[in-house]
Amino acid sequence: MKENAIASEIIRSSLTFCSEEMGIALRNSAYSPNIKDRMDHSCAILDTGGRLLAQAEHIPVHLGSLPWGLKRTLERLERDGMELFNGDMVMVNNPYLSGTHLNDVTIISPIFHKGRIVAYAANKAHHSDVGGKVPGSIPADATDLFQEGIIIDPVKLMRRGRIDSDVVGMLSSNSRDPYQRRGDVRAQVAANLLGGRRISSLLQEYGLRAFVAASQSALDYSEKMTRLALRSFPDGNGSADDSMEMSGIGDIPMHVLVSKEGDTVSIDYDGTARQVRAPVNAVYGVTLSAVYYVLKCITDPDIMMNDGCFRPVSVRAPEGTLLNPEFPYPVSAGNTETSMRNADLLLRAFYQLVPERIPASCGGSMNNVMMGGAVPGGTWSFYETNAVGMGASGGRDGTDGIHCNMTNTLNTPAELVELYYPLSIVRYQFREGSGGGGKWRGGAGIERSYLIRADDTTFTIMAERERIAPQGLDGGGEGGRTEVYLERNGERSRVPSKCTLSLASGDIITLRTAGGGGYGEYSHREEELLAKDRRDRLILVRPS
Amino acid sequence: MAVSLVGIDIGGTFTDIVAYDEQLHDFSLIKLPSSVRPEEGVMDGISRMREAGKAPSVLFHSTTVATNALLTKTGWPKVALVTTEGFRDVLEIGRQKRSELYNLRVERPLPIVPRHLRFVVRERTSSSGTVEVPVARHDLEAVADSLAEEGVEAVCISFLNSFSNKANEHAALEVIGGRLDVPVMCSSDVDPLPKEFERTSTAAVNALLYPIVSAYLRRLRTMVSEACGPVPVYIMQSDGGGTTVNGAIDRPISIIESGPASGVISSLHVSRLLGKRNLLTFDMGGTTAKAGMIRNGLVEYSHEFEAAGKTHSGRSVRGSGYPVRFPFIDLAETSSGGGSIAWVDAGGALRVGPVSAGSHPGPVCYDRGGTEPTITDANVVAARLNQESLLSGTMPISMHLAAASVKEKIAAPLSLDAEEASLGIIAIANNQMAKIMRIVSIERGYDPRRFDLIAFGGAGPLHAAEVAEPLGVGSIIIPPAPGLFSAFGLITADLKREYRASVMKMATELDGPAASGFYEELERKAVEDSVAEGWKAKTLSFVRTASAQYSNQGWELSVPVRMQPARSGSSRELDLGRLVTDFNRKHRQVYGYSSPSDPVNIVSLNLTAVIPMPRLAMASGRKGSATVRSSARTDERRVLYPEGERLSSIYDRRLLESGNSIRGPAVVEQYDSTILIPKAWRAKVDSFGNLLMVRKP
Repeated sequence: MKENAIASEIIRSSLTFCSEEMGIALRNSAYSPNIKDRMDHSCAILDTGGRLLAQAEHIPVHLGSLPWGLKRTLERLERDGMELFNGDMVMVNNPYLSGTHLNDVTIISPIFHKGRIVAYAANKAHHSDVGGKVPGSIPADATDLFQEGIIIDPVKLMRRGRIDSDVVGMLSSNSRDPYQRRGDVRAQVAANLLGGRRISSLLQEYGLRAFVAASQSALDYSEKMTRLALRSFPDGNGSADDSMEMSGIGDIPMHVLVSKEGDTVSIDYDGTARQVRAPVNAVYGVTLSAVYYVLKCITDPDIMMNDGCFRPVSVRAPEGTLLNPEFPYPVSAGNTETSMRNADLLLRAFYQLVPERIPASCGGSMNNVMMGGAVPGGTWSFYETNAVGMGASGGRDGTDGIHCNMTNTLNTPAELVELYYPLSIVRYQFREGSGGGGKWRGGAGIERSYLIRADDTTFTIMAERERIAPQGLDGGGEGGRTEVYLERNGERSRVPSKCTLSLASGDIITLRTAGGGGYGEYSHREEELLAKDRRDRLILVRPS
Repeated sequence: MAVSLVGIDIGGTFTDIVAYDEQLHDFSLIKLPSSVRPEEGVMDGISRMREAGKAPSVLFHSTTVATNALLTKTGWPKVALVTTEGFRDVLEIGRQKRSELYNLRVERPLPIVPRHLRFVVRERTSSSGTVEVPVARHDLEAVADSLAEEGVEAVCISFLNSFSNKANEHAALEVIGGRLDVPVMCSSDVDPLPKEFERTSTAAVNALLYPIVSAYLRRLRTMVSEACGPVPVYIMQSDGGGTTVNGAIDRPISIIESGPASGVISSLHVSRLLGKRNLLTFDMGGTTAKAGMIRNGLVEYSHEFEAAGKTHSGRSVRGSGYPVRFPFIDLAETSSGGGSIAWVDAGGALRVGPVSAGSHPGPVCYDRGGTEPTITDANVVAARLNQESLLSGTMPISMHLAAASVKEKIAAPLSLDAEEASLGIIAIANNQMAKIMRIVSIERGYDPRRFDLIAFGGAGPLHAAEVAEPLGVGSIIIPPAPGLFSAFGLITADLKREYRASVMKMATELDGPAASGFYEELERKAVEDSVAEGWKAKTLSFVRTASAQYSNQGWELSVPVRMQPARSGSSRELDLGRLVTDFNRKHRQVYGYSSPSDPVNIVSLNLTAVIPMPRLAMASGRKGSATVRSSARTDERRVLYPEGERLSSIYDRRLLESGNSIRGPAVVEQYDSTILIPKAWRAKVDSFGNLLMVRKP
């Protein structure tokens, strides 16, 4: 028994290492810049009950959504009687099953030991185009899921070790860049194969019994650590309200009540608006991601992520609402935008319980930019997200131009954009006058201008915080709001932060992302920092 | 006075000095505590060698001056950046990624150039190399005046797309360089490749280090020549090649990872000596363990790293440091060293590191005030280390204190006894170290079972066998002086200089002569540089590689470039077909698949100019028989292994002779290290004094 404590520790850390190694393999062999350079993917190991054993997430929006989606998918397979054999892999992207949006294609494979399934390896990666009405597959005006791209219910991508090229073809032929889709799917397959090999060798070394014992003790361990962390802050309730912005629909209210008692926490979204005919609905998995993200930030980020972490947390989002919609409501931006707002909302509710751990709001959007069209010889599709200003916290200014909360992808270098797409970046710097004023100022947003070099380019922007500014805390000022401009024939006009436009060669789109909120009264800002503000010009101070 | 090659490796705690007498084929080794001023450490080392009757004929030096400046962020010169209008903040924005996902207050590393010293000018070059907006002289003059007013100490010029055409950057250099009396450098000269942030960062780090490194090396050169006359001084670069003082001053980014490179270069020497072309290197010291690889007799390089960045589970954390593109010996690192502290966390799990007891107070058994059990303490309790003294008996230790602390801090909370707890600490540390070995082998597509492991650093030989086993490695080399092995690498290094040409073309868009044109240009530059250093051009040899990727992939692989006889004329040209085949093969090896029908993009063509140093002849050790002399077997004691306690023979390494054979379980003790030979292993001393361990079949 005693020796098992050590074996358990080794198996446990090997599980985490295995999911990390899968993530590296996926990144290294992927084709699209979105995965390769921006690392918009996550990998996981599950037990036979579909419980998460280990996860390497590179962006937090996959934190709770990946395990939720995998569990549901496995339940679905069982219900449908789809039997899995050694060497099989299942592909799925239906967000109501797999947990985020259609762009995120999930691949699951069973791991066999002596003829039995003993675990699963899985990964999820954002494909930059999965069809639908606009390049990038996040149409601002979608009214149902079908407009957001091809919907794939669980299908065998690989049978007994052989990739089904018909299945790959079905995905790639529905995409505007089929070549990248094929490469990315191959990379996802390679990652799962690697995960399977690693788990198999652990099983060989320690045996099934020790593996199962260690997996279950890992769940208990993470549960215990989470409970300990929750005990470290006072009991009580906190609530917050905010809204998503959607022109044509108006503001879409969100409400949360968080209650913390002893070593448990419950989150209730009752009071949040009904689902809408717009792409900002967030499937329940995405809602969970925001909850787990915020809890991880305010408790102990080093706790090994697995199913045990979820046990002390209960989340209620009534069905048919913005945060738990029903098929086939559109969801593409729920993943990117609503999840960001949900994080802001939760942080503000927790501010009432643990004020010293909470910063002012960040720029609150992933600022998705999608472009594409036809050029001689084929189609092209470009997707990227853009950073915002981080909220200030007591004791320090917010960081300028950085990805916050639910995302953490790398940007696309301007020089590569120009090499690979009919686009040029003509401006890319911090947005002056956007960091919310305060004793500590919010981070500045980003200003990025795209010069279009091909006619008939379809451009889609999906951003938030255009109307409702990022909030300051403790007397700090608001951050600058999102602005989008179109410059055509020398004339500059404002365009909405969620829209699709048809652009011509020579047009310039300028995106100015939101700044973070300030913290504390501006009148208390130290002289040395004021001098720096005068030089850097990044602070936003509204006349009081 | 005998003439010697002298290598001086300055580390954080110790300065290691190795001198090799070319006539006698004889080595002298000295370990000194490091001085506050590194040049004093060097001079100290030289005078100690002179006292021993050794005059340096050549001085090799590895230095932490550059990396320390980046880590401590103190004494930074005022650096300015001149960049394209609209792109003022590229250097600070980086890649937008935060280095810690769940830290709501995460900060970026301090920018090398603050916003108010980032100047912009109107100019534009396209990605295909057309100058769309030439840079205006009067704009540059205005910027130069502001730079002078600010009193900047170094300037870096980095324009968008300068990888495709250097004209605007060079025009700016001419005007600004002509008006300022401080170092001014262009990004396209320091690092001529695409991706604006990485190129700008590399150039900015170079500008930052220039004043620091040049001041140090000029001071050092003067001191050395005053003491020893005109002795050539070479500095170890991150790629494991030596460079001259001038070379290091021109490109200080090349010596950032000067220290860690040396151990791998020593291993390369052993690789050549023994004819073992595939080695995993395992270096375990007091605070960290490092893993590296030699494959087909060559060191594996990486072309980009984050200087002064953080690592997590052996991998570097993106966004935590300063990206620098210069080939460096890619080592995976984990915080398992002899001094790493074991602890039980709130959830009741046994953990090892990352906190280290360092050399002060050090492990509990040193009895210098340490109270937290370390890996060294666990090894003492498990009787793997001598339980009475270390350093050949010169340093008494307390087994009693070590056991009490393991018992109190680890064993009691986990309901184990002290022996079980010690084995647990060792097992967890070994697992962490096996991970970094996997990162450098399996994760890069190489099967570790096809490699021998070479173990060094004070603690490496003690853990090598148990780190090797889960990897399936069946053969281990322990060099004669494992604790001073890195310093030894200095005097075996070749001299090198790196050159890169940005290409950014599909292989199908190039032909042999066009591609060869890039090399002619690079080779001309290499010859020019070596003539300027006073070397004969004919001693130069060239290593050519290409960085390539499938079209649109963001990650490059490095593949060898081969030349073939040109179809016309007498010259040789680049074999593009071979390059594409090699790329596909390497992609399959590293990533598990290849796509031969997909176009291959050649990102850059790279040239390494090498001046080989004479190979050191190694003296053979005293020849003995398979049976160890009884005097060498000094003791026996009960040593703990995972399978139980075993009576193990203890040997004194100084008394071993070549040909001696030892069967496990056994422990070999020496001044700077201890070697553990578990039951499943046997060891043999070779004619160079290496201990070769083999796992019994």
